[in-house]
Amino acid sequence: MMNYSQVFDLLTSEGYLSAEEQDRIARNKGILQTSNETPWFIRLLLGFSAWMAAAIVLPFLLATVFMDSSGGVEWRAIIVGTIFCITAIGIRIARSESTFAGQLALVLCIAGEIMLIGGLAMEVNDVATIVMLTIAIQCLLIWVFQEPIHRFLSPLVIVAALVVWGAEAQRVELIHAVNVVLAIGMLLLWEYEDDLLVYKEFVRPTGYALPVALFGLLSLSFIREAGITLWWLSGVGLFIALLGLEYRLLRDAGVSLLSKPALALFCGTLVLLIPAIGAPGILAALFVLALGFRRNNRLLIGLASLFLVFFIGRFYYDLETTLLIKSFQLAGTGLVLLALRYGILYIFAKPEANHETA
Amino acid sequence: MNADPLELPATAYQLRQFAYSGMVKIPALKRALVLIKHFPDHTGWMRFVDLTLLLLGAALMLAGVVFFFAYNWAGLPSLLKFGIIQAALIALIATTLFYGLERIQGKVALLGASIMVGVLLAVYGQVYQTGADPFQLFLLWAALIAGWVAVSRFTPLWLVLLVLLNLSTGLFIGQRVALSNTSIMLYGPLFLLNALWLFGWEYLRWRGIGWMQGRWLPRLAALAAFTALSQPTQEAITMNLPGIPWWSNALAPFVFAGFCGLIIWFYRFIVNDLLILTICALSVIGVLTTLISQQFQPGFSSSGSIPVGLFVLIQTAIAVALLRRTAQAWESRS
Repeated sequence: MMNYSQVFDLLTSEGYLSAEEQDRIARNKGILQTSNETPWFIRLLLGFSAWMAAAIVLPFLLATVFMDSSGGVEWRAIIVGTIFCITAIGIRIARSESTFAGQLALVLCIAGEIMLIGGLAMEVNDVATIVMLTIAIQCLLIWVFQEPIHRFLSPLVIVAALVVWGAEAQRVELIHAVNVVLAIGMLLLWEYEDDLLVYKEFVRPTGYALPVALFGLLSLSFIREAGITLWWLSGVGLFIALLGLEYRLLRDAGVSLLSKPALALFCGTLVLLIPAIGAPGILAALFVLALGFRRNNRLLIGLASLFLVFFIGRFYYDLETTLLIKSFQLAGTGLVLLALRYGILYIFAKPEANHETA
Repeated sequence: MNADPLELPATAYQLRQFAYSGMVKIPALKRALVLIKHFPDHTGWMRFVDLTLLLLGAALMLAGVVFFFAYNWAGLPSLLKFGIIQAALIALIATTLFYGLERIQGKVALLGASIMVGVLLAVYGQVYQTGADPFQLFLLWAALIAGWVAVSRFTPLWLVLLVLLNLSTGLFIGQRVALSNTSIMLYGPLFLLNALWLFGWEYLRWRGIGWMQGRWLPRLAALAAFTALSQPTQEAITMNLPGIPWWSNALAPFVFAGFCGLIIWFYRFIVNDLLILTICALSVIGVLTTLISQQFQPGFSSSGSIPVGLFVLIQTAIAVALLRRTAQAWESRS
């Protein structure tokens, strides 16, 4: 495993680093001992506890604001909610290094948003306007409220608001456009993760929110009461996103798009589309799995693996056939995958002459 | 003497920190990530495709077999039922022997064979109407595959064994232990099972068994142990059951405190595992929050919600600060 010295020496010899830059790195090497990424499970603990605190405090706050029988409940909620949000932003800016202050700010912001949006909903009484206001508030908070957990939650709220609007406006099939946008957005954010490094405070939370939102929306395919029928549109959109990812993979590996491996990959993806077109969740999970592996991102891989199992299970559960036919389909699919495995390993195997010895 | 930080193994996170602070340009960062092999190469992709298709294919085939028997239950003659399952079992064992336990194909085949043992027992119980309790099925299943698990050197198979033991213990408690017993009697065996598993695993890992170096199974066991122990602890705080001796109510919190102390000592100073310490912290937060809630009674019309909510945030802040300090201490020691 290479150490930093070796990496920077190589970069200098290849012309990526100037001598001045290497000197500057040597002078600031102390950051290697002070900055450590917060593990995902600690961030999960922080988020969970904020939600737990919000769940404890919110009923009391809502009861205090909303259940007063004197008039002006809506404006009281809007004013108190706005004050909470502004206070949260202020706390976060003033005490950005404090974990306690960060969590307090998050709880205040969540409580404030619920009151603000609830008050607006009672005042405005028009779904489209409420949705637009919700999206505007979330976009503003993404910009000014420097809290990664909230920046993860805001895209989810925006997507949920769009779904509500679609349902209200009898345009539920627009969900497929949202799915495609989420998939392409995810591809762009993670593929250009390093180019967008200066915006990492926005990019990383959003990069994790998009797959969660996508899987959440695709879960609606199992709820007939949702009234969404044209799921093949999402399937086609996700297929295109998967092709886009494969194109980048092949390009980075220096493989010609007309070579045997490339054509085999594209054909294999097309074959995959045929059974999965009615189960876009499976395609989405495979897409996120491939993207996560490409970016060496274990969180994306874990998330995709969980949802892959879920979507495959639900797909077979919902098939309107007998258990006997399902058993043959399952076993048959398993055999096809094992055969595909042998085929891919054969087609994509490196020539012996190029094989590195251990 | 402190090592030069630049001699540390390069990580993607730290390289990105250099780029974020402007010391390294983006093209240099991208080249550096390639140099440290952060992104998978051709071999990595082949291994990924191999493993994904193998696991998915095997799982779907196994599910197909299970569904086949579920459908044909009533119609198949008993002899045919047993014949097909045993043929599948023999085929899987033959596959294991062919590939050997050194290769993933052999390990996955052995996992499939272990699942088939359970199917065989279930069919046996159905055909002969033995009247056995479900916990006996899972216990016998665990006993029959224990030898395979021991030689497999395959962590997922050890997980299957742990799940079977938990199921048999849980079903035994549900069926044979009177409901009037205290929560510690109901959940205690589950806690003991997972705690003993956890420390047994860590002992064997300490003995230097190479394939046991992975952390996810002991972490699952720790999660199960804390889940089993938190329940009676919280019930001891919230419920005052009549006729239950005082020592029975005190036992769960006492065991909880002792277990937390042991886990903190062991995983702070002996084995460095921040995730297990985080699980411990989460359990402690849950129990202490329950304790405080008993005093303040949060609710819709209760202003006690505010101090309880604040208490949750304070606990979390303290826990996170301690966990971060622990991680930094390990970093500087290494």
